[in-house]
Amino acid sequence: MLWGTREAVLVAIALAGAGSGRAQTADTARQAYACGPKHPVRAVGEALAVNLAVNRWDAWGRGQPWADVGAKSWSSNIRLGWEWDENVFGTNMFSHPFHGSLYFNAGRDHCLGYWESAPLAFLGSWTWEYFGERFRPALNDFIMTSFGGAALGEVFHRVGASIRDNHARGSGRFGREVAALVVDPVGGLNRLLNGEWSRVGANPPEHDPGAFFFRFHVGGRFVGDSGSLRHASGAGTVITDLSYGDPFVRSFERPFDNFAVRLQLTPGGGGLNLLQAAGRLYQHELSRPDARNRHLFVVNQRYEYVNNPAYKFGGQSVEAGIVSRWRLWRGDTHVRGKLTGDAIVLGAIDAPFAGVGARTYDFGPGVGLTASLVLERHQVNILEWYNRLEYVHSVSGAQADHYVAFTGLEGTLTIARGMGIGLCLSTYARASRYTDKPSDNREFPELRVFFTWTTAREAPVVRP
Amino acid sequence: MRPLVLAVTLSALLGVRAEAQRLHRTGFWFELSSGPGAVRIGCGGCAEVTVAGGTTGDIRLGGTLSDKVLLGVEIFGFTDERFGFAAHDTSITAENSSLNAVVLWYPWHGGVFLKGGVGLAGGRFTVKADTGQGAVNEGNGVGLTFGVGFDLPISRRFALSANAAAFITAIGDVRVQGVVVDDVIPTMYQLGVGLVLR
Repeated sequence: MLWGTREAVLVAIALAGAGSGRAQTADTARQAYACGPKHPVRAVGEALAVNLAVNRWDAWGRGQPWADVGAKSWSSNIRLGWEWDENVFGTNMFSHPFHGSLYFNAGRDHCLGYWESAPLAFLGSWTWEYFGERFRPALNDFIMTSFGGAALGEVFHRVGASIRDNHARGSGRFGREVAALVVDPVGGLNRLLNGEWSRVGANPPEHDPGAFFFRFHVGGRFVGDSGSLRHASGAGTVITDLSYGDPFVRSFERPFDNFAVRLQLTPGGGGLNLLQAAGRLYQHELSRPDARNRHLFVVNQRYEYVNNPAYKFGGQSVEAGIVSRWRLWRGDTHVRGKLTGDAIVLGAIDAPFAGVGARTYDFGPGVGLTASLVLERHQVNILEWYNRLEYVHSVSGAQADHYVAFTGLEGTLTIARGMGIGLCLSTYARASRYTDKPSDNREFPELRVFFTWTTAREAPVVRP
Repeated sequence: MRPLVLAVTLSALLGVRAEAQRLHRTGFWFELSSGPGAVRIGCGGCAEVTVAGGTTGDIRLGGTLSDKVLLGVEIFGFTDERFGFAAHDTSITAENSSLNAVVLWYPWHGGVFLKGGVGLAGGRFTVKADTGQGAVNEGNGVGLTFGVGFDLPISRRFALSANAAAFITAIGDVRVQGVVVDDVIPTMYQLGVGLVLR
């Protein structure tokens, strides 16, 4: 496993830094920055160097026999081709996408765009699967690393750019560069090698998302089984929410100009419990930009990782649908709505009878629907309702079709200076239908009570 | 060779002259191609893979995002009527297909393109009735495709296209001749020649 709870904690800290940092450093030099010439060959070399470095670290540093590769393992892998692996959920659904983000950011850090960097995630993943391990190449690893690497890579690239501030100097500048190194290691190392850790200059456009929303939750979560909270198990939990950019404030130009991330850590309940990211790939305005109520057609790329003691669910997907914003009263309060359908390229879900060998979960493609409503004031979420239905058809593991529903209501009351209290009631329900075994239905209700710290910025509305 | 001959003949019938000009990629496009292929079928817990030759065909159509990027859908099919999971067994007709959303990227000024796509996949193994075990067994799942190709313009609207591509189809468990084969992943390889209309 490349990364674990310790790294996830660092990511949370870095995300917190991103939120607070942006509030202090609104970048007015948006147009002044120009990324240098594109270097695709160097980017490819760097992505392959990541593989070489990780493989040699595992072989020489950790003495892992699976990393002892050579002509024999390469010819065997080329001859036999793809299979499904049996790694644990965290390795397959988080560590591999994080690994993929390194390949992807080798491209982003050499001035390639999102679409130009995405093939690097595929190339890096493919070469790792065939030549970086003695195991047969795993199709699930390839999909999770490449699709997840592009999604997480762009998020990490932008969060890293937000944390860094090329205007800053001294120890503050050094601290920002170190914090950004955690989420964007390839970018941080490139900057170090290029002498950019101390060079003063303009910030890249990704540094300033315009509007943003950042919330830090600390509290307790109580998860029940079989539909009841009566015998729920409790644990302390920390959540970080980040909304980067606002599609209703700044027009869409590039992929992930607008994205949302939620990260949850429960130290006594599985560590990294949740990491969800959804970034905008395309949008088209369906209403007038100056209309009181606005509607957008959107296409998002989604990454999802849910792993707690009660259940596991994750995958790579693309969603398309309508997002709307209705203005209430004098205009500082809005209701935001979302109605999307999604295609899951490859999902993973645990259930009784699921999995194969040491693996306790199934892999498969699927489809889903999402509906949500959010009441917000000055860019700050007050009340949120969401409902998601997902269907996963297993192609590795049990012969099964899984149906899941996520439903929740989360409210936060601001008390003073960004501090608040909140309550969240949610349910995860799963129905599994097997070809050769009895069906299984389970429901996991969850209650969360928490304190919050929120910071947000409403970028000035650009009137056409 | 048959598809190549067909494409060349068609271009001659259309009365077009091969010109060393680059296609200006714009608007709707459509491509039909065919050629020899091979399938390699791996499965969960299988120490070896099954490899067989066959015939492939695909249809691609879509729109143009920019002069260098095309977006479309692709339907691909592979058939081998003398397939078998065991040596010398030819009692099965293997058919694999996929429906993918594809991106064609022309990174340079010429006609060389890279292809990537993702979508749905299906596999069907039909045991011939004369074996006494006639049955159709199929699975559905996720498909991926990657490839490289070259467009050779023959007029303002037509081009010949050469493709080398891999189609990965993960179709789940399949029961063949009374045996459940777990987590089947057929990977097809295609060398195709086609005609492009823009």
